[in-house]
Amino acid sequence: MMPKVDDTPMLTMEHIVKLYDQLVANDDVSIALHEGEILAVIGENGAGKTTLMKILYGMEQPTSGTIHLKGKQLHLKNAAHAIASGIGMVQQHFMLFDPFTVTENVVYGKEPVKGLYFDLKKATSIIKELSKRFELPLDPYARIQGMPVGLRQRVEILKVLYQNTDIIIFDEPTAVLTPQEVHELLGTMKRLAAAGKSIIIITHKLNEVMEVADRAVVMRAGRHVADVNIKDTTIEELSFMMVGRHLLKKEVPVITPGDDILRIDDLCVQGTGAVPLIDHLSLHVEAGEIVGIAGVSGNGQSELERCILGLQHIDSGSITIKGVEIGNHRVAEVRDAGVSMIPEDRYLWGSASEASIMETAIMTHYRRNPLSSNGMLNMKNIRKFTTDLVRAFSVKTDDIRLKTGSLSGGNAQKLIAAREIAHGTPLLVACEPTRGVDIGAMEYIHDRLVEKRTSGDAVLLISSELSEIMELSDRIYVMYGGKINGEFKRGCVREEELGLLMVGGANHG
Amino acid sequence: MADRKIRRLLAPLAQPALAIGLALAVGAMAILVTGENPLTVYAAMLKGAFGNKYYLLTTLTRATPIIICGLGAAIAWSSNYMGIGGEGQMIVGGFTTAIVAIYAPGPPWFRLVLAIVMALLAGGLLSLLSAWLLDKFRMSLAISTLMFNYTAQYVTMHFVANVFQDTTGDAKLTQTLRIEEGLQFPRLFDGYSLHLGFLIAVGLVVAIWFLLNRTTFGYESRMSGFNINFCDYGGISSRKVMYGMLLLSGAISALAGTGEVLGVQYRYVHNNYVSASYAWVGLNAALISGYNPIGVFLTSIILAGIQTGGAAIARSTTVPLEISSIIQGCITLFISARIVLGSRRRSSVALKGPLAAAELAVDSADEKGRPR
Repeated sequence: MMPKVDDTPMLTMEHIVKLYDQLVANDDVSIALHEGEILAVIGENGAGKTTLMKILYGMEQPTSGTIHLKGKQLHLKNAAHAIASGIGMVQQHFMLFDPFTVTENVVYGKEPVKGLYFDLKKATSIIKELSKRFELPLDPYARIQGMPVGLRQRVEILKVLYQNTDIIIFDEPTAVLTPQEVHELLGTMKRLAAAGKSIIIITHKLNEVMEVADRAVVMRAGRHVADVNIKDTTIEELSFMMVGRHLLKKEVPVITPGDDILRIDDLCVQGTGAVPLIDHLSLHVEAGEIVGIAGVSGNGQSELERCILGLQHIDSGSITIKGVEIGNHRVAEVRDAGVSMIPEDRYLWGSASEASIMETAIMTHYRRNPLSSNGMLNMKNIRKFTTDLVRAFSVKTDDIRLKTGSLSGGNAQKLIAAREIAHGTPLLVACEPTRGVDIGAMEYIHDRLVEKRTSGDAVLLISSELSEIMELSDRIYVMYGGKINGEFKRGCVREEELGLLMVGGANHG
Repeated sequence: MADRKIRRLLAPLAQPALAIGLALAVGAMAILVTGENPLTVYAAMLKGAFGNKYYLLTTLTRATPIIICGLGAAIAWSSNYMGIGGEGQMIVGGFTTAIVAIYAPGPPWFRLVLAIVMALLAGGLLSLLSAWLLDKFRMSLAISTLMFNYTAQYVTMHFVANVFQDTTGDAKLTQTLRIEEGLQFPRLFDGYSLHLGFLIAVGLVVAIWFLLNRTTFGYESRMSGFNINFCDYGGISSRKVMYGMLLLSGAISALAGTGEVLGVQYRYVHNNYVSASYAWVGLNAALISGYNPIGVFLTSIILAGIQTGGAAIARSTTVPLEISSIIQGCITLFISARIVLGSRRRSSVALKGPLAAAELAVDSADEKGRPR
């Protein structure tokens, strides 16, 4: 496929430098994109790929460096300007109006009009035509509300196609999709490229890069370290270039599970909607076991997590830790009974961005000696405690007095994981413990989870990342619609089977 | 390295300084309109505020209730409970102090202690009532505290005008009897107005800094101000923080009234705190300084200086007294612009906690959300 006969790239970014104060986000990065090409920009979190794309999409201005599109130099002022110039982006976080239809969402901001009125008929026919041409089946009259994530993303793609840009940027497009949806999306990308669109995909999932991309630009620490043709490389080589070292295949030592640590019986949470959030759910986690809960986000995992910690009122059923009932108890009591938790959203639940790293690190710990006594904080011990955590989990920071918000996503997540594991409780609930973190941090957190389980504690791993579930879990439950839709022992199930159960398929296993 | 440390320490001062600078610039334009030279006017203002011992001590006397109210507001706002009831709490504090000091039985020292304790209780309970309304009925804290300001003002007016009025003089002012000398706060310098209340304010600054930064309760309340979900998840009782901080905030604001009664007027005078708007200027000081107790102390003195300095130039030039209101208003405006910009920069993904959700949209100081 590559290089093309016509070797002049349609888009070049040359010597891009972006500084935020003293932080160098992009250090002399150059990329080129040819017509009909799929270019993967890969790198760990914090490698600068998102910054680079924000510059290309007009959301940030480079400190120095130039962008040329079809031989003309561009000075992008904002996203609207980028779109007008022919550069579109499928955002990682969907921006759709839930109560509106597909058509209304797609044409929003650039509606076809008849006189003074919105021409719905014309809009609908445009959408129908687009979705046929690019094989993106969608009902133009359907409302966004209640749509699965894969379909929502399809609407986002249609939005970009409707803007009729030559270049489409996909920002971490597969993070929220099921394996089947990922497969469809990759197919869509290939079709778009074949139709002459040039595509940039930002990701750190290397198997997808291998499957779909023509070429990959590897970034590390703000620099661009390699530019390779996919057919000339391997997944191992790419990961080596990305991380700067070889990753070891994880070995999970075999141990025999012990007694029940967590037991949930017939748990029900009705919620405010017609469908219960959690519907007669039962599960158990034994000592020395990592139990994975696989499922597409939004199938009751968040509610389950909150029920266990005491943040969500349960309507019926019981939750016990080592035989002690904790259902509907206060969070402080649940934590004292032996539960710690890496929450699913590190900024919403797991930390306070404005608080110092030290203050985020001592949450829950601060109540106990030696961090405090008689209501007085012991600053010396707090500093030591935080320094130890930061060191043990190699959280990268200059100073523990800096704001938590100054940490990169991966480092913030490591800090939270460190804090929760440091509780040494019999049960750790890890919810999406590696969402949005780089491979290095991911490996690190995985190792710590396995370590905890091997030391005889129980870990409940709730994740929408199937590979993570498959790799770490001794036992796997699949959750769908607030229910358990299948249970498997390690190695007794294939990824495709789980994927099917995750979207409500029947269990034939 | 040392350079960076200095920069980090100075960073929080940059924006208040910028706001004050811009406000002075706007004030300068207003002065130009009146036909005076802004530089000479500002020089006169500076002199009138801090120029000699008399002016300086007058400014500090005026700053005293502002500091105390500012501290009261700062602790509540920094823990995410944005009450604006400082004025009402100060009023019940001053009123209670005067009534107990004048009418309670017992030796003077006993009446003094009782007066202060009862004032703290009165302010604390008034604030607690708003907390209870928020907790039980999700009533907006901003609205309930604002309304209680009026309740406090007019209920005390009734009692001062109809029950406890000073009928000894000819003027029949709406004020209580004078408190006997043994109960009055001593003055710090002979012949100058500065009184013991100022030292109490200084003590409070230290105590509150300690409370916020060195105690578990302070940690809990600060975290509650940063991200209430984080607190829930960590097992902090947001109820405890809310009741605790609002009780304390009310009690502190009441102490500002106590200071005025025992240190300045020696009686409760109706409408006195309202017309001087000590509580609102104190809230300003809290906002400007980002709820930092030491910042509240310094800012309050600057704001008091703008007022006393403004009065001085009104005496000596054709510039009207209102110039200080203009400058103060502009400072508030520019500071709130900073707060809004600050919270806009963070994305709005932040989910508000159940208690905070009931708050009115006065949450200009919304400190939660993701950094982006």
